[in-house]
Amino acid sequence: MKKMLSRVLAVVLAGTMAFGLTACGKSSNKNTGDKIDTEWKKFDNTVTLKVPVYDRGGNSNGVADVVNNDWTKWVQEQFGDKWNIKVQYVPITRSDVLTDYALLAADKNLPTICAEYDYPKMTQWISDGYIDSFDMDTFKAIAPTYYANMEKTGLLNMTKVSGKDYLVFGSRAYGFSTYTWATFYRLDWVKAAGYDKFPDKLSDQIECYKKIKALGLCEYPLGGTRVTGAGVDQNHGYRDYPQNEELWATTGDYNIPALSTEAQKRFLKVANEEYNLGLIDPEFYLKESSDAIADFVNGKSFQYSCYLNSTIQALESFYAENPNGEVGLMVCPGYVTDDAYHWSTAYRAGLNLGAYVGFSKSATADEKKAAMMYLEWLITPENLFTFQWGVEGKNFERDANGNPVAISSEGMGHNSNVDYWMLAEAVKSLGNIELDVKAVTPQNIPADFFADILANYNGQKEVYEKGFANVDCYFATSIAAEAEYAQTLYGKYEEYRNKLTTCKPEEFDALYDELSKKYLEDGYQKVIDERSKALKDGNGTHLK
Amino acid sequence: MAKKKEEIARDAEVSRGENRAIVKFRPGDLLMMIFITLLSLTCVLPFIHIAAKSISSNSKVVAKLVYLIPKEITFDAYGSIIRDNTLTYSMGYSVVVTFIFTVLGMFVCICGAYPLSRVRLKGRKWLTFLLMVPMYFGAGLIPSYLLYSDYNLLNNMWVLILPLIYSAYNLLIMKSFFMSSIPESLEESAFLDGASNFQILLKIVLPLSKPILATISLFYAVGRWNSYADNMYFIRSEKLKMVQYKLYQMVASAQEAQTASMADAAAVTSTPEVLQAASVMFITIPIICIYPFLQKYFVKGTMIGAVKG
Repeated sequence: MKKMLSRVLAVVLAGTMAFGLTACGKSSNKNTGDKIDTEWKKFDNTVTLKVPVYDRGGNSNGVADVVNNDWTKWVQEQFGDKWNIKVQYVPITRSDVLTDYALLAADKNLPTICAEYDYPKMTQWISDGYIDSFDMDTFKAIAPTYYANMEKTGLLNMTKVSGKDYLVFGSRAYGFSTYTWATFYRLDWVKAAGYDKFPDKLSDQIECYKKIKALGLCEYPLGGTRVTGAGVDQNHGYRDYPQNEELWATTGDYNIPALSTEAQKRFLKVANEEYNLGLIDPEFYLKESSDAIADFVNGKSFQYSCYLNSTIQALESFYAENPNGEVGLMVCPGYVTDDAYHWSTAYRAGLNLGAYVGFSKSATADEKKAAMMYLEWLITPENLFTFQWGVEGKNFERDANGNPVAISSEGMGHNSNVDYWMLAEAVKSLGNIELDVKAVTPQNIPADFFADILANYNGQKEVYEKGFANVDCYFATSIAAEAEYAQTLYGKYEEYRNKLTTCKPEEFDALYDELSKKYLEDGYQKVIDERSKALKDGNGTHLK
Repeated sequence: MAKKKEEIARDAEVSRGENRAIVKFRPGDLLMMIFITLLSLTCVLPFIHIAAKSISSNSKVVAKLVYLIPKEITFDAYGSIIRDNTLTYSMGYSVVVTFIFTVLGMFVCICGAYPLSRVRLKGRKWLTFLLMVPMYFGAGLIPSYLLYSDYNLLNNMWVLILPLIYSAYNLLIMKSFFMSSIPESLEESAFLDGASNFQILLKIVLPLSKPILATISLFYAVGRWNSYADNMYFIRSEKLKMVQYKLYQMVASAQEAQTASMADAAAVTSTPEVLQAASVMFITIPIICIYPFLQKYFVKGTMIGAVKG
């Protein structure tokens, strides 16, 4: 009897759990199917517009609450009150975007606007049913300035997924270039090694490192840190140009490292040579990015890379610790090749797109219209300018030419509020590269990098215009294998590339073949196959 | 017999108020002391390291030149924390949440453990079994989120309190204590004197259970104080975030800025390490001040759990 009761209870419990799991998700009574009216008029009933904003946890660091501050109040006064729209910002944890959206979607409480910088995330959300398709003519009628801005990028085809319009997007000035990412180096060491500046060709660069080591200036000039995650070990400089379109589409992306390709083999072979020459710290795989800063500041490595900003803590610390040290900035010399290593200055160009924007499937027609009105209001030059620069006298002043110069980011939040205006533009631009470079040139340090940053931009522009900086392939469909295997492949890549970097040079080729085979079996082959199919089905962009 | 004599001699030493380990120092004791010292250092050194960083200059910290001794001492980071009262507010709020949580948690735990510890409660085995189920199975994040949403608990202080006040583990420990420490005969005599169940609980059982009440209260309070995952998923308003979660966000945002994708990192600023260290100290110091006074209860709780749990 007791046994029987236990069994019955176990079945009841299991049933309850299974029922609970199948009940994940709410039904919604909202009418989301109405046609959107295109006329700009005040709504009769208050419409709630939910706009996502990244929460970067800055509140504990003096940054205002992201959903309730002077700027959100300003938006409500200037836009919301005028059209009877209640603008409600929804904080999205920057370090856990996917979980936040998943929870909100399960609760049928997604923001009216769903936005992200990463295209694969957007296609995933479309495939998961978070985002609704819409009529582009309606959008164009409500938000003509926003539409015109999209048209200007020449990438209107990026709005479609599986043949339907799902997305709109903001723009990104100088999207082709990566000039805001800079590598600083020890110019004093380069001069001591007998060079005027950092050499252009890879073989000369390796010679320079060897001389620096031989002079005893630095034990491991290239330093090194742990390599893991998306975007690591990009092999654009080692590819064959012009690229093979299928190879470019299936393995030439930012998301998953391309172990098993010839370009990656060349890349890692150079890393292996540098390691065996003693240019890389033997314990590189234990070091984090904060160690790279410390090594540069303490004279234990030759170079340090980071995003440009008017304040770069690493440089300030460097000059504080090395008052006589001399730092240079690596400049792209234009298109240069080095046959000895099958290397060139080719790089990964970006699109001139900013954040991708979609409209929630659970939003009503009025809410979607309010979202489109918001995008149009946001991109209007005077509104965007106020959002980006703040209040004259408090956040910026005008120089002799009438151009704004930031004086304080107080109260502006991270990136001077970019988390709000990212829906329209990804980077603040004055429309002139010299002014924009000036805005990100590091201040409060002895060196002035303005000319080098500008030269680097111009060098990259030359490479791009010659066709050696290609944009990755974008798929207008969700690549399920990417989502499934990406995390596994990050871990495997780190393990395999560490082995390949540290093995003996004569063992490299055989080991590369062996580990490539494993990597393909670990899931990379499935990613390649799915991308290949998507490209053949016409769901991928083409190589330009 | 010889062994017994030895034990008696040791007891005599102890009863004279002398420490046996000092009277008769053995190599084993030395090894033990070294081991315990090393173990303690693994806790103390990181704390000193953070403390030193919190009062050192930014450039020395960025250069990783600060280990245990502060360099270029400055209290600017503490000044920033105090001037910007966000962390101070969160600290006060966390104390309030922890207090309410502990009081309600103890109420639920006592009300659950006492009846289940009494033999006269029919079906107590089944009830105990049912109450233990959540210890092994959880519904998962999304079902929990939907449930709290239905109860309008999301973005509400009570979501940090109500879901966790029932703890099967704490209930089990308290039940075991009641069963082993409160004899049925004591209750029977109280019944004979005309006491009701509540009177017995309030006037006899609880006064006799002070050690376990202190221990479980501490478990509740420390558990609530240290956890932040529910803040991350169920709370969106800055004013409702507990201080531990704010600290997590601070560290996560600094890590994110270091590894941010090209898309949005152009000018993302990270929290300086010195400020992070000062925040850690600011949050930790109050607990460190209280801890020595509560430590003995933790030890007692561990013993109860180990022997009878």
